[in-house]
Amino acid sequence: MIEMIIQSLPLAIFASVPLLLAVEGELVAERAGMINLGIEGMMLTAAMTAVFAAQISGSIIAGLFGGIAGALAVAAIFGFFSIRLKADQIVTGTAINLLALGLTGFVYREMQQSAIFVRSVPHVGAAAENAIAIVSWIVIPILLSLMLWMTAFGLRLRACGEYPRAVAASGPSVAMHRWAALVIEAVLVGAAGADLSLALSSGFAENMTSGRGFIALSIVIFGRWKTRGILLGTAVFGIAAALQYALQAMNQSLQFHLLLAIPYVVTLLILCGIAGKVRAPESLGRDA
Amino acid sequence: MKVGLLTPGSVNDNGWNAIAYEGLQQIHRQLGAQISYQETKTPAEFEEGFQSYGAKGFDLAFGHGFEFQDAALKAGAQYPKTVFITTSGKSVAPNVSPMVFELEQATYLLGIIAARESKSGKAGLVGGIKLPSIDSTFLAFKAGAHSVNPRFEVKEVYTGNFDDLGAARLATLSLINAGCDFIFHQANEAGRGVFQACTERKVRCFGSNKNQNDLAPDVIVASAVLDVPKAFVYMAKLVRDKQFRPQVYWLGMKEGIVSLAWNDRLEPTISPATVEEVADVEKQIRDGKLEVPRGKF
Amino acid sequence: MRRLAVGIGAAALSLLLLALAGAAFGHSPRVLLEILVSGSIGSRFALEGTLLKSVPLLLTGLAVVIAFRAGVWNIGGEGQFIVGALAAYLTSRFGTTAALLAAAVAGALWASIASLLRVWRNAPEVLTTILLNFIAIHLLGYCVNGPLQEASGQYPQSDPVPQAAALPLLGGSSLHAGIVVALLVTLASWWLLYRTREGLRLRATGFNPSAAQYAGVDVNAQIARAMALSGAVAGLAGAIELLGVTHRLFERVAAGYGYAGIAVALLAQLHPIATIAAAAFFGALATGAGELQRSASISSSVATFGQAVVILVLILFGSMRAFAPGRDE
Repeated sequence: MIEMIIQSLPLAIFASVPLLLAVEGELVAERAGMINLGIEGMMLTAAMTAVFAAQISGSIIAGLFGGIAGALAVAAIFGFFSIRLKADQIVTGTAINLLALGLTGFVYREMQQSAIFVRSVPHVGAAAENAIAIVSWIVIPILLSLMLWMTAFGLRLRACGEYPRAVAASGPSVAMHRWAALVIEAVLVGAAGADLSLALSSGFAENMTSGRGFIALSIVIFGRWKTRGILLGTAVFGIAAALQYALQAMNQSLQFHLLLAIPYVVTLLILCGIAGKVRAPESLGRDA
Repeated sequence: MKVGLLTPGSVNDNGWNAIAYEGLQQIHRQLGAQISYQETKTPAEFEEGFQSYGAKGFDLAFGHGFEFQDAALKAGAQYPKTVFITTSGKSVAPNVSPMVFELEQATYLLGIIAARESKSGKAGLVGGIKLPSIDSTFLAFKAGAHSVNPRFEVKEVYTGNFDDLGAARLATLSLINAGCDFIFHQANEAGRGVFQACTERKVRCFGSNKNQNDLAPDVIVASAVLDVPKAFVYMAKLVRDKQFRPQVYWLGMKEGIVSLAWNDRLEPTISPATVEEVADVEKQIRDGKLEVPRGKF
Repeated sequence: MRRLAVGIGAAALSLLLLALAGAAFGHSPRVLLEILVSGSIGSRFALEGTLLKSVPLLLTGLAVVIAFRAGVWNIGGEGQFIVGALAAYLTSRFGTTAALLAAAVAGALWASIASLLRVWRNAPEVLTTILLNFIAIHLLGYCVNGPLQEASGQYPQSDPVPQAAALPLLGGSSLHAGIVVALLVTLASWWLLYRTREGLRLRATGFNPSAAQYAGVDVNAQIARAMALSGAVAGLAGAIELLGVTHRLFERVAAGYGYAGIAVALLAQLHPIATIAAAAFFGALATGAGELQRSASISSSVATFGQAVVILVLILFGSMRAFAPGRDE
């Protein structure tokens, strides 16, 4: 068993990169008081726009920017409705998920003969994938921690999640800070989508995010809105996902349907028990 | 002539549904038929689709999977002038028949190749959803492998869907970590993730349903090919010429629907003895001398 | 009246946007709309298809209405639908009534996991209900591949429910008696929400939980009851779909009806009676989308797209802001 976990570890580390990036993005958004249920649709859209950009330009880097651009477009919709119009964040997020699923499915099918989806995508090498893993697992968490807990901007951002009225009363605009948080989230989720379709996988497929966005939302809560917590949560989930394939390969008689449910059960248990009573940012999900 | 098709999933899945759609287009091109298709998710939609084709006077309607049988029987009774064909299944009525592809004949051969050429003595199978048709091809793969080496180990992993390329890649890497040095997949769209994993680890693998040899020419040794378009055209011709008879249509190597396609670039890396053995077994299957085991469905 | 206008306007505008999206890919908007209309209500056959799809949508929509009215985010309709269908299948040999009741109880219990975790561990129900959806899907997958697989063991589906338990068909059509049940449940929900003290407390909780608490409502218990009720209705939807349409269990039995219920409820602006019209609209959209694909080869994912556009248009109309879940006018 121990040996299997050790073997699964490297797989878990790079296979959970898209999840991790999404988790990091959602952490920033939630710290600023927004719960972005539309993160699943944001990632799916980014996965598609990344393929578009990479195929048209022939470059992976362009693909990354394409993914970020797609996520930013979705963020603009989310922000317009939830920050500008102060519409309910969960309703908006739900609509965005449906929109992204319907629209990417529609475009993918209308363009199925197009070279963009037929030709194989530019290849991301093993070295690049390792670099991406290091950036996602080490560099970005450090940067995020510094930003959130060491800068005045981070302090105000967090205040927007806790006491938006106090922030507004003391001068800075809550809306501007939430927009900034949303942009940071979109950059990270866009990178997640690009990683998913260009590095972890080789191309786009309908609904290829397969619930990663929803898992990301849960992990942020499991991590109790702390960088260390979310890293741990992503690691637990990533290892559970990798391990269940190793278990399947080892034991043929195991009911794989139940194994497939493990990551979700683990997340649910994590949400309710092991992490202790959860305390969310005070104004999470509410408008200012 | 009017021909309709109901698929259980997206027709651009690079697998099961894509080959059916190709078949429909072949019917259009070769026989000049008017064609229509719909992706259906629920039994209500299966019935609605079939009944709509019946009501519009379609000559032939395909339901691409076992799950269409109930709807085909129901619509068949209502619209006797339309022929309803399900791909796989067992339900037969005066205007309802299944055509059952014997892809197992080809995956049996793949099993032989894996068992003869593997150095580790282990092969891995990656499935999307555990459908009987998929399970059955795995069963035949194992039977083929065990026919030449009873101690050969075959490991099986399912990802639970056909969309998540990343999960398929992860599943494949787990199999490779567990020592498998030949991989066969039945994951449709997600098969691309399998090839990605095999390419990066330089592990040999097989293509399925379509001739996928070009998708990863450095690692795919051979593909188990299912010529669904040919089968669709064959059925359409039967219906057009009033030759259709209600029965289970078994379509395999003998009928030219199922075949094994070697990748010319990699065939030289396979020992000539194996190639010869495979050709020999293939001939036995074709001549009806060897019956390949298949799942009972 | 204004709410009615907003609803109709949102539906109409979303159809227009759909047509424009089609036009962007070279399909004539007029033909597209014509097919959509004729394919959903243009013939008896199309109309039956529309009504058949409206039944589960009506119930999953009502489930969302009840939960959102209480200010609790039940995104778990899909999972509750599935466990409802599972329970109905297991009890179908005791007759239709038993199966329907069992499904309601199962849906209520499944939803209560989420409200329990909310009260006990402060875990947000938005997320726990989504996770429970995934778990229910895999549980169903396990059942139809394992203990509940058909006796012949061939396909990943259950045997059909006993004929006696199946919902009777209505006079020579493909419509089943579930439509009557669904309408009765709608009336009952309206009565409960607007004519009982329980409904008043439920809406008060959603409108302003702290004020409700102050006024003597036990908010936690109220939320738990609303959640259970919501789950029961979603579970009932699963049972009716099983006993009226599919007759067998298989992995995709829920087919997204649970999620679609959210769009239905929002289009109905959380009013139980309006939910009938909203469900019929989305039922027609789904049926019309099928015809769109059959006769014009346009992807049926336009129906999903349509649901999203309806919600966004509703928000644009400003109704959603004054009308965040639970908030009454």
